[in-house]
Amino acid sequence: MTNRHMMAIARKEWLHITRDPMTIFLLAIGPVLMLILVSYAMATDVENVPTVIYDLDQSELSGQLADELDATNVLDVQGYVSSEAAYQDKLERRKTKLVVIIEEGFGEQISTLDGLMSLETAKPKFSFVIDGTDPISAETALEAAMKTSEAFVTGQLGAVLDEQQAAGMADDLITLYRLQLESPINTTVENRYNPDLKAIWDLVPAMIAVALVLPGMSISTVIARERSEGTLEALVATPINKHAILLGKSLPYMITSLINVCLMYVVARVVFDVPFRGSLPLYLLLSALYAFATLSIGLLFSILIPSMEAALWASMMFFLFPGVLLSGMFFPVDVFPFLVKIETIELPVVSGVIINRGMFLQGVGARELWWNIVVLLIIALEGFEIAGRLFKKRIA
Amino acid sequence: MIQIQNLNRHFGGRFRQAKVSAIAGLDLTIQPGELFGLVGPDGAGKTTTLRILAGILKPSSGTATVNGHDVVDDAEAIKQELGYMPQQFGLYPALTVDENLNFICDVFGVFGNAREQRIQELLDFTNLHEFRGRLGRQLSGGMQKKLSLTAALVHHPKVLLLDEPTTGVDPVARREFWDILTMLHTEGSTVIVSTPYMDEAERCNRVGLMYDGQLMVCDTPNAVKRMLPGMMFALRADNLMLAENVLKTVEGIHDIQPYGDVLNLLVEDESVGTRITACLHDAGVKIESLRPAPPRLEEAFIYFVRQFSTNHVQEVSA
Repeated sequence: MTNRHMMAIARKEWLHITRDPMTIFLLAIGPVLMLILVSYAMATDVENVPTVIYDLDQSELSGQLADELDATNVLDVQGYVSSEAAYQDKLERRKTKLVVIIEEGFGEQISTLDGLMSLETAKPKFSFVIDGTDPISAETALEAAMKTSEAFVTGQLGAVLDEQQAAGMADDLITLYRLQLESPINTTVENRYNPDLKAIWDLVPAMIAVALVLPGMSISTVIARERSEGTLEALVATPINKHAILLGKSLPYMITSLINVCLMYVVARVVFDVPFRGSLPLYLLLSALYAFATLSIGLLFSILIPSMEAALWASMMFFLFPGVLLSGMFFPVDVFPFLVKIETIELPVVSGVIINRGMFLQGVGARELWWNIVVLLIIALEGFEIAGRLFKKRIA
Repeated sequence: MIQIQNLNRHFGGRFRQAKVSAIAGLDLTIQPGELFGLVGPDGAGKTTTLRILAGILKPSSGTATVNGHDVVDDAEAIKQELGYMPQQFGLYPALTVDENLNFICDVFGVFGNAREQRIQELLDFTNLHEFRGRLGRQLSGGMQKKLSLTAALVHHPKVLLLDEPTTGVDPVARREFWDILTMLHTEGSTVIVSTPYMDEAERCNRVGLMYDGQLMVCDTPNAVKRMLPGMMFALRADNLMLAENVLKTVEGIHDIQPYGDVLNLLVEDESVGTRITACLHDAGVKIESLRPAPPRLEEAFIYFVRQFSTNHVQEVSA
């Protein structure tokens, strides 16, 4: 009896699922997509972190070192800068995550006997500047750069030592130098924007952006809800302008988003003690733009997807999972090379994370964030425009 | 004035779905001030017709205009002048009666004193005063229908489209509903109402009988009844089942309709009566009474539907 009843319900439920093609598509594809995204993020090492070299030595050997750094999987040397201001600019524009500074006299020191002998008092000095707003990438890149530099110096000076050994240098001296070559360099690391490497500093601004996708998710069901409650028919039979319907539906969500931004800003500053280095009016303006962009996309989903369940699924897959994954909160953004290229174009949440981190930690302004601002503007206006075009005041 | 010319609307036909024709070549003209009843069995195309007139459904082909506005090109202008009451409760279940009405007033730009006055007036004749604070979902089916009607009337529409406004409503509320519609009619509004109830159709000044997406008959209720060929007998007998079977073979009977403990017989002329008596007597059916009866719209409707569907089947098989 129970069995028969259970099967009756199961059969009916199956019919329900298959009747709504969007839901079945998302049910089928959603878990697979999640598996791929998450596994990819977990399994892939950090690769091709954009790196620039500030070469004060300008020797043949410093050039060779740059090549060796580039030859690693982790680093992608994109070129040289000629001043501190230049790499500062690249860091702010997020063009680079790591700056390797090679001091003057480097080539000389690692290729001569004098250099070998001076190792005891003054090891070759390396300075690294990392962007602390993406700590996973930065730390991995830093480690790779240090190891490579160390190995390069050891190799060069080892060759000098071999020559000396062949030339008859005393064995005890050779042993002494060999010992010193085990840690041949002196490094200083400057962590920009997050000097104490406080994880919470990186997390909180990114989380603000991710949390703001929630209004976008809830607006994705508004039209479907009217449809399932049967109120859409009466609504579209009124003479209300269709853009007024869409704007009117967005406005309350917009207001809640802005209230949320203010509350989250206060929590970040007061509870988590995160510094804020940008301009507050600009931050509010950009937050409004970001909220508008997510709401536009949510609204578009709402119009495209007729059932509430499917709309929620789609917005979760579009906003939440990629948002959390690509926001760089748990996984470095760079592990998705192909997604990185399209991320900012398609996913407002990534621009949101960049803007929040930039304004909280880096203290950047509109000049450095222009690309993200343009992206969000396009998403917001185009999304709304397409939503308006697709929304027909008809029922079929 | 409403004009419908050669209107067609089909659904499906994509993704290997069967193509279903909801309206097939509908022609209809409704004059200003009419109280027009659209009757027909379920699936006849009544709702589709009303939705097209309300500007919320595109016809597949053909044209329809409401007060001179085309339903496709000028839908928004129609919506401005129209009161549309969908079959399903179209107001917000999570809002109260008052909140729903205020929303509709906002939409149609009824503000200030005019709004308060209009809402009072409408609540007066729908008797919804004491439920103003109640949520839409807490209203009974009948009250929801009344609220929908109220909402459709807020802006004094010139044309009112009501899709089965009394389905699922108790007889008392139905009577009240029709009193309201009659009042609107006498005030000069054009009212088009779809209904499955024949007693309601009798109260319209003109009815259109729809079947299979077409208008079978369209005239005043009395004219429609007069279109029935021959005359009607009401038969009471001890074994109606047997009587029905026997009479199926009798010549001169157009139609047999069981109605409670009566069998309504549509016959060619009075002379068929004697044949009926004889046949039933032979079959052993005891006649309690057999007398001429005035036909109602219901008999006419069932007769036309049967005529039409048999013709239709013949056409299709031929």
